[in-house]
Amino acid sequence: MTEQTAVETEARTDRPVVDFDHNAEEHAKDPVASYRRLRSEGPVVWTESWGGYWVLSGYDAIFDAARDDEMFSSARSPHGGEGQAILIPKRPITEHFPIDLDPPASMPYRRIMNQLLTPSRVEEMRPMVEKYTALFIDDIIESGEADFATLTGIPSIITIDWLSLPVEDWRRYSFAHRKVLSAPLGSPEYIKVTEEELPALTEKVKEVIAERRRNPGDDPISFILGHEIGGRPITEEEVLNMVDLIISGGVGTVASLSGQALEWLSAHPDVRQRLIDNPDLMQNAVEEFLRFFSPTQALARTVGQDADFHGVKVRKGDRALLAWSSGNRDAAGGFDNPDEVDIERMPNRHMAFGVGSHRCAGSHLGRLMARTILTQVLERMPDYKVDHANVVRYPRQGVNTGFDRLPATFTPGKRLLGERL
Amino acid sequence: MPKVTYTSAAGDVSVLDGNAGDSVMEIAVRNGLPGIVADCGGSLACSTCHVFVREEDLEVLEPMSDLEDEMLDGTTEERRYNSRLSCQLKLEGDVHVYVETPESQV
Repeated sequence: MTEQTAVETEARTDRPVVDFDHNAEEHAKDPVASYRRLRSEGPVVWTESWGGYWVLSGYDAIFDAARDDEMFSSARSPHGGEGQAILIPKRPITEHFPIDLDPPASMPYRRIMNQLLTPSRVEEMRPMVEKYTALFIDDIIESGEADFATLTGIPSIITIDWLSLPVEDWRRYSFAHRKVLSAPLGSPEYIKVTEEELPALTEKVKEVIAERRRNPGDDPISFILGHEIGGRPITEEEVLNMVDLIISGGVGTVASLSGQALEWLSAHPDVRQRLIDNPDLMQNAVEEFLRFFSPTQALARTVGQDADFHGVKVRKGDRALLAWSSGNRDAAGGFDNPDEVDIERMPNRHMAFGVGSHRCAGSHLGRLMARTILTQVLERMPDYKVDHANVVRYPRQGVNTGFDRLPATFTPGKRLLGERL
Repeated sequence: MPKVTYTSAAGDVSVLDGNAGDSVMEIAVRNGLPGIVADCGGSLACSTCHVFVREEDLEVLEPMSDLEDEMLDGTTEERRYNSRLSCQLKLEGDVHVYVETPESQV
């Protein structure tokens, strides 16, 4: 009997193959349904898309993989082509530190990131976050109608201004970093952004870093430049690796979260009214929106050694997609009615910021920005209505979900601030 | 078996049993205790499992690593002399430790 049980629980040697591609149009039409189908097949399944990869869709499998950097590496490697290993297919861009490294090599960079984004440092940014949010709303409030997709510029301008990069370039950063994740792979827009615009912006960041080396100030780039890596001064190249990661992490994700929450609240006026009447509920509501919408849907790892893992045999060099968004809809994560929004859900152990040593270092800032955007929209445009029939989602939603168009109408209001964007 | 008494900022008391080798964080999370968030799952990457340890229990716990010390500078509620990250507090044997959870972790 014991023997038989042992045989039964042994990992299957064949690969449970599914027809799946997180970059495909079919997936983008309904990512939630797409992952639900995968979970019904098993917590870890294999697809032949993009040279083949495991999809981890069950809460426990994702959690365990993300906590084990040796078994599931974030570092660049020859497996699956050239480029950034946390994406499938890989993207040939500037190296990003610490995400393109594993512990212990990642740790010196991670420590700098942690210090840069502590709750107290983020709290110091609150006036700037509130000002830019007010300015964006000022820009649209007199007309009574607007494309709420333009609010996606808020995290962009905040990130660029905070980094003390030329603030007038915020639209370029916003556009490029959104398109690289949402435009169809290989489309003219995608090629233009990856081959021309992002490299051009990188050159500008390099110039700013060199300038701060000569004239340090009270800004994050100077702060990073003041650190050592293993006993020697950090190089300008390494600073670029960190700054480029901050920009790409900060711009698209908050846009995705706030846009989707605004659309959902328009369709659920009862919940919107509760949030207007009880602003104290906003903090917990944002946690639930994080779980429900999972702005960063999934990121990849590379298997570090042959092993049995949650019922399958994974091999060194296999690529694996960790679908945070799917784990966040898995009842195994302790979520009652996971497909329903409960703004008072508690506990809520969502994985929207990832898990493990690479968990989002900017979560405090992301939360502050999302809370501020939602709070100010509800205060100043409490009756806004999204034109749901004319909403346009990103054509590709494998990494970030969100909207290219989010048209809304509302009772016009007055500007708050004297200055303009 | 280790035992932990958790007191929330509001004064709610929960006494929970764990297994040998569990951390103070794991016992809380397994039982759905709201005062400990532990976003990163125990990788010293989030500072959301902050607790204040009863003074006489401080010395029975494993000493603090440099990284835990740094991460404690990034807690939402400011650290005190008895602050620890509960994911680092692995318990063995029949210890009974007392911790307070802060008002907010995020």
